[in-house]
Formats: sequence, structure tokens, C-alpha cells
Amino acid sequence: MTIPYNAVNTKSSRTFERVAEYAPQDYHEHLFELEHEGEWIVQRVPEPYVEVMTKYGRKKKIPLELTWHHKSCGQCGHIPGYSTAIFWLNRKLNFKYIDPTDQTSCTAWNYYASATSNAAAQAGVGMRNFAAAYETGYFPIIHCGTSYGHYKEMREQLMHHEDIRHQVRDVMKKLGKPMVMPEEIVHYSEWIHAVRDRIAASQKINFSNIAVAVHPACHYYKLVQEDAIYDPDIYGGQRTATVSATVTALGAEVRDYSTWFDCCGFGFRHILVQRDFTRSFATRRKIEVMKEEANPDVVITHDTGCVTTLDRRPRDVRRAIRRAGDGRASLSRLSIALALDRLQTSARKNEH
Amino acid sequence: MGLFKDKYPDVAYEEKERLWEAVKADSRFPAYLYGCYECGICVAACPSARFYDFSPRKIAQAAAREDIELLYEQMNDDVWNCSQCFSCNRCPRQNSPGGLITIIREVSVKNGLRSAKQALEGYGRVIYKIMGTGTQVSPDMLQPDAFPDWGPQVREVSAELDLWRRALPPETLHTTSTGWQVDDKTIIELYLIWHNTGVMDMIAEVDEGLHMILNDVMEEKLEEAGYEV
Repeated sequence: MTIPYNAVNTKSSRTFERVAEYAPQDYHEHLFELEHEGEWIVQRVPEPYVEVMTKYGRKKKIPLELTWHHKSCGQCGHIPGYSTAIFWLNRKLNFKYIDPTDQTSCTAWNYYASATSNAAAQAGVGMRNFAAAYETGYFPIIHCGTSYGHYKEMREQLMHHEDIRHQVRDVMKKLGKPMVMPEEIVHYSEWIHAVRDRIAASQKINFSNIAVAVHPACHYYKLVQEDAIYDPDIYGGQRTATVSATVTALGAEVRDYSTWFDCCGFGFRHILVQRDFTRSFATRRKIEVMKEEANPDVVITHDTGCVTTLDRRPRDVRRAIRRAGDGRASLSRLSIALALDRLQTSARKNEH
Repeated sequence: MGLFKDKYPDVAYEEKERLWEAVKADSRFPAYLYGCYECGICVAACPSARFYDFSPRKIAQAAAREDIELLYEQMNDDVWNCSQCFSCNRCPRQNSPGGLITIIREVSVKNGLRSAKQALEGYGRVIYKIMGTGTQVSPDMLQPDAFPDWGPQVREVSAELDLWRRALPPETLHTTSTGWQVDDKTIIELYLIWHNTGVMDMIAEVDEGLHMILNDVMEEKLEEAGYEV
């Protein structure tokens, strides 16, 4: 039996309202309490910032500039157009930023793949990076969805587990670094969400005839989910609005599909040493379904792992499209690529 | 006595219990398990459940009723199938089977279980890269023989890698052995974190050779910087 995707794509007349009583406690109270008790310094979001809405209606501050760019090892390693394009956007918008060398990976790709680490070590790596950002006076902005989700988990663990906090404090003392927690943990796609109308104001190409399927990154909105961006005008406020709101602001059409919530199949360990699983899942549960139900011109996602999974298998994509489509489809009709990769070309042209 | 036949009767119950107690002793454990409705929402959302004989629901249930024998079996046969995407966090009881698995895997590595060593076979190079250089994926890792399924562009890019990287506008990306340029001071701080949080001991449990290589690399740099290992 095929999935009744017409039902999925038909808008219901019902309106969705999130029930405030289910909302988790705003973590900021605890964050500032711990600062008051001398446990750490809270690095404030610098002005100017934009306030956006998160899952349960809380406002989240997104800094516009004075940002310290916590790069992604997956992006910089093999999708370098990603970070290049983020920096290019900052320069086009005349925003000050730092591309630091006093930064390590969050190391979470390895942690989720191999478990050859532990909570205190992972928090130590994150807090070292946060301290390095604080020392420059710039505010951290996280390029990788996994780093972003992992750091939010780390924040939860440090707030609620004194034993981990004390272990990390001892390590930071040995490094001669302060304990610093940012007021907000911000993903680059949230920054793009916050400046989407400014980007649209500089738009040169009309996207109104472009159909888009969005794949959101699991670690963006499934880890500490109350901290992800939601908007009542996007998917009725029931799914994260990041990426989809930007696509809409740029005038393209967002098309829905029934496996939207599914992971891409990255799997951390699997993408490197068990790629048959990754390939099968990405093809059968994402690419074929997207093609069959949404038939988009482009698929847009916002994370290292998803781009790696969906973009780095051109032959599989071509076969999947043939199976799901009319046999005449080609990569030009369903280009599994990150839009920012394309911006890299523009960035280069502007650089030189 | 568990509900299922013990698949590992040769391992003493006390040893299985000791490992389970280590999982429960992790301070994150209480926040990852609140019981189970048996609704199967976690299974419906789980990518690994579609392609492996794997169920996040069974993990949560075995943990909730502390079925020591089944938990030992899962520690060996199941947990490495998890994708760690945390789609199972959709649980209406607020469980995190993915989080439980993170802890179970850690205990498995810390105790040098053979299944952990097998799961990480072929993965040592990645651990070396991330722990030794501070970035996990470097451009020079992406060689066509290692990634033949990533398309012809892997060969094209790797042939002129240095040139491609130097053509990138951000100067921090003009490297091929790391994702970006990382300061020496930063690397030393990372090494101190690994040494002071028990991570080096974990590596020794699963891969002695890798531990030796990493230790040599780290010791030299740390000693140069005036730290005693």
C-alpha cells in the first residue's frame, strides 16, 4: 500500500496551539542562578540581536554580528563551500565576525559513533571552545547541527549534574580557562533564519518557479527540542521552521512529503564504516519518497551529516530517481545539494 | 531470570550485573528512562529498526525491568546498530533510548568488551584523527579508494587537493591534514582534556595499538609545552 500523501499535503482547517503547561522550564533561570553562585560566567548575546520563537513560545535571542564561528569538521573537511558561504553572507551584510583557529571540533561525531569518550570529556571540549570565544569578546555561533545539539545536551548535563560540572571545572583550571556558558546556543541556520528578510532584500534571482523539499537535521530539533525555532506560519507551528521559513522568504515553494521527520540515515559510525545501511535508508526513506510525493527541483538541508548522506552518492540518487519517477528524471531535476554550496560559486566570484 | 533465553550463559550473571550497575551509576541515566508505554513510537521513528533486528522499545523495556541477561545481550548485539539520531526522543514518556544506548556503549568500551572492539574495527583512523588533530574529517582522508561510492568528484578533488584548498577564500581552510587550521596551543589543551577525563584509558581498553600511537604523539607535544604526563 502506498502512503496517502495527498492527505498529508492537504491543509487541515484545524489550528494547532501548543499547550503551555507541557513546556519544560526555561533553562535561563537555572543558568543565571549558577552564575550568581559563582559556578560560571554567562556570556550575554551581544546587541543587536533578533528575537525568534522557539517550540513552546519562548523567545530566543539570535546575535546579528560579533560572532565567533565554531566551524564543523565535516563541513570544512569535505564541503568547504558551506562555511565559506556563511562567512560571505556575513561580509555581504557588513557584520563583524571571527573565523578562529583557537577552536577544535566538538568531537561529537566520534562520540556518537564510537563512544570512546565520556560526559566530562565532551563537556570539557565544549567549555574549552566556549571559553576561547569568550576571551575574544565575540559570541559563539555553531555551524554543525550535531555540535549544536550536543552542546545543548552538554549544557543540560552541566546545569543538572554537579559531579560533571566539578570534573569539568577541575580540567578548565588546569587549562587556565574560565567556565563560560553562552546565554543562548545558536546554530548558523538560526542566524540565517533571523536575517532571511535581509538576504531576500538583496536577492538577484527569482526563485518563484523553484520547488523545494526540506530535510531538517535530527540533532537540530530532536535534542533539547524546546530550544529549536518554530513559527505558527510554517507547518502550522508543528515542525521546526528553520530552513523552510528561509526558503519561503526567498520566494520558492516548499513541498511536503510523508517521511519529513525521518533521519537521513547518517548514523555517525554507519556513514564511515557501514555505508550500506546509510545508502539504503537515504535512498528508500528519503530520496525516493521526496521524488514520488513532492517531486522537488532541489532538496535543502542545514547540517553536515545530512548533506554528506544525501549529496555524496550521485549514482544512488540517479537510480533512486529513476525508480521513483518517470524514467526521464535526472539529477538536474532533483538535485540533492545544499543551496549554500551553490552560493560558494557566487562567493568566489565576489572574492576575486 | 529474564523473559528470554540467555544467549550468553558462559558469562557469569554477576559480571552482567556489574556492567548493568555501571550503566545505572551514570548520572545521566535517571533522565533517560521513566518507564515504557509499549506504544512503539520510538520504533516507528527509528531508522535502524527498519534495516536491522533492532528495537529502541526493547532497550527501554529491558532497562525498565532490569532484565540483566537481555541487557547484556543488547550491550553486545544491538547497541552498535543505533544511528544516534535521537528520533526516539519523541517518546511520550520522555524516555531517551538513544541516550541509554550512549551510556551502554560507553560502559562497553570502558570494559573492553569484544563486541565493542569488533564494532570499532576499521574506525581507529577516525579516532586517531579527531583525538590527535582536533578535527575529525580532513580533506586528505577522502581518497577515491576509501570512498568509491561518493562519485567521480572524489578522484578529481583529491588529485589537486592542495590547489583546491588554497583557492578557498577563508585562509583557515588552506589545509589538507585538518578540517581547518588549529593552533598548537589549542591542540595541547585538547590533549590535556583527554588525559584528565579518563578518555585515554578508554582507548587503551578497545585498541592498545592506537592508544600507544596517540600517547606517543601527545606526550611529545605536552612535554614540549612543559606538561608532565
